[in-house]
Amino acid sequence: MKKVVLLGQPNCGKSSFFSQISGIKVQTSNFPGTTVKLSRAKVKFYSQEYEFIDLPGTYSLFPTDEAEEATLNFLINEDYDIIVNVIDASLIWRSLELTLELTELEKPMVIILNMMDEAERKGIKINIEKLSEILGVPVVSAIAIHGKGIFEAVRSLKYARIPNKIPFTKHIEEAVSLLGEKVGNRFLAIKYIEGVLPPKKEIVKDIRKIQEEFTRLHGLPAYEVISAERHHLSMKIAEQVTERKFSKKISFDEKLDRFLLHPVFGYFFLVLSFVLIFATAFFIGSLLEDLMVTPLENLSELLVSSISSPFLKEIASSTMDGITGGLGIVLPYFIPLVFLLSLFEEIGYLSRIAFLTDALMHKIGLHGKAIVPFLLGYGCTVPALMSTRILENKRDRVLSALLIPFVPCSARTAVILAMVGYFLGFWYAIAFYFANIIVIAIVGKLLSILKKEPSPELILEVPTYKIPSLKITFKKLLFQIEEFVFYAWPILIAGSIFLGILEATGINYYTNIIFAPLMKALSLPPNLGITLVFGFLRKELTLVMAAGALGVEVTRLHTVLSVKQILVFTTFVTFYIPCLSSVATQWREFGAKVVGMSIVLSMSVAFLLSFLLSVII
Amino acid sequence: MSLLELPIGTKARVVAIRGGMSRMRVMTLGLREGDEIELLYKGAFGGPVLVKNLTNGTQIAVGRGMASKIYVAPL
Repeated sequence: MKKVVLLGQPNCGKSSFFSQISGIKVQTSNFPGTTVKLSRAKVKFYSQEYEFIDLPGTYSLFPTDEAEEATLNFLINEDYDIIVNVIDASLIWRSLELTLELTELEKPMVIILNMMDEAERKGIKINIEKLSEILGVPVVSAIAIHGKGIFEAVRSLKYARIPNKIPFTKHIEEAVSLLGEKVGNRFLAIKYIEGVLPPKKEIVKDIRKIQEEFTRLHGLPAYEVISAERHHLSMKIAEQVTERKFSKKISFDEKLDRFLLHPVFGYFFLVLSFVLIFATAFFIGSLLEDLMVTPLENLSELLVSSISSPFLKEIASSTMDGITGGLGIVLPYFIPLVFLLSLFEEIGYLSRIAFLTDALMHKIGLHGKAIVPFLLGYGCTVPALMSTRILENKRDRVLSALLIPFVPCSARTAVILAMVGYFLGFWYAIAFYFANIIVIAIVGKLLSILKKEPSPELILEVPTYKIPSLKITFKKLLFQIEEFVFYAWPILIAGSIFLGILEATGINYYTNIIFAPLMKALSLPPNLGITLVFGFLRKELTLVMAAGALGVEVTRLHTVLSVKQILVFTTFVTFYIPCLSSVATQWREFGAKVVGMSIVLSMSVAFLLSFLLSVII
Repeated sequence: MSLLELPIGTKARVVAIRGGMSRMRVMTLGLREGDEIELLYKGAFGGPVLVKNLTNGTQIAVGRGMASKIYVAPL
């Protein structure tokens, strides 16, 4: 089997290419010790087997974020046979800079010139044979999103060649070649000169000498000298292989942006589109929920009534509750939300959203792009946490992961609406949401001050709009559903069974005793202690459980709780640890440390806020 | 003048990019000294600016702080 790594700059259509060649069987894993995802897929082409490894998009191998660093480490330390470099043909001038950097690895290579339709629309004509001749590797033209050129690309793997050496300017080339011979690897030699990798002791002096010489001659740091070299070489190659006919016409993209990035209409459309997304998600969600929940509940009743042992009865019914919870409540909201979001990403609207909301998100120490996971959080915390993958930098991802659990998800919305909205009135509920946003902003601001690492400023490519491929979007969706079904759902079921055991064995009683001091501090009835455990395992059950624990109907909760108690309880439930599934997702995406931080943070914020409320009111 | 002072819709040539590692990031994303650009939008509420690079076809959004470190000469 041959290992093929897929590399390309962000937005070059590399993941579309990967989706097209891979079947449904895609494996993802984290790069060791990072939060960066890596996907693999095996493909058989005639008698040859290939394993494709989709590395994260990277502008260059001079790492400026976690994903780029992971990519660089992979290229240096892992074993692979062929490099497939995917290029956005319409941006060939810039894309070749990465290509040149890849040629330095001196590994067999193939180039996929993707988005040829886009290039054509922009009046760019590329001489494929000539490019292949200059670089010495096969070049295949493709429109990956429509599946064009995929077959040819895989076929060309057989002809992958070690690329021609494209030499730098004379004095730079001499220094690089000399060092390359000394360390036995041209790529490593360049990385040492760029200062990206720490060199062995014996050559530290040689390298410093080269760096000083470059800086003396060019007045720039060595890494910039080399970057400028690649830039000039790629411009030169691009000029040799392209013909550009500029059209004076304003492109469709520019016309669309005039509206979508407009200081008034742009925001109007943004708000409208999210309202629509949520309306669609909740509409489809409740439709699916109705379709699935009733038959499941009937089945559950049938099953439970056939068991005679009260203990087993309790276990069976809570297992069914867990299954129903995942299938009937989470999945219906999960699917439309995730689907619509990835559609936005495919179209290219996400980076426009980042542009529009950047100023706002900066207030809490984040970038514009981070608005998306937060908005998804109003639906369900699990996909919201998963969607932090769209953020490039680790600091932003962790900060978002710590803040997202504070966003009230649909299960908590049910509690807020039923408690605050129903008993105290609509405006109280609105005020509650508003206060929630302010708290998130304050916590975010504090965290970003504590984290010290300054939020790097927004420097983001805004790619042209793309017509999305439903096939690819569906494939991505399927993939995320799989992750939910095999990871978050079993945990939901296990939590539910655990609750059943607590109830069947009468441990509930002791739980209330453990929570008694907390309840007392917040001036809440001691019986509510158990609901917090429920809230952690199955958030949507909080309300029903609270009513059960206090021995009244849900609609009559106000007869046993004062206004103050309702507010304090809702505040605590909204802010304390999100559900078990989201904690598990946090664990999987970010590791134990972030989970620990998140639990401590959310418990303290929840306690502080509700305590303050109980004192003030 | 800096990119921030450039009126919207004006074409200009990039004269200098300052700002340490952010300079490197801007360059790898496809904006270099000598490139011809057009300032497309300035974000509301002190948001970023959107620059179209006419030399290589890329479009990038740059925060105001960094934008003030990119110097241009109107064409």
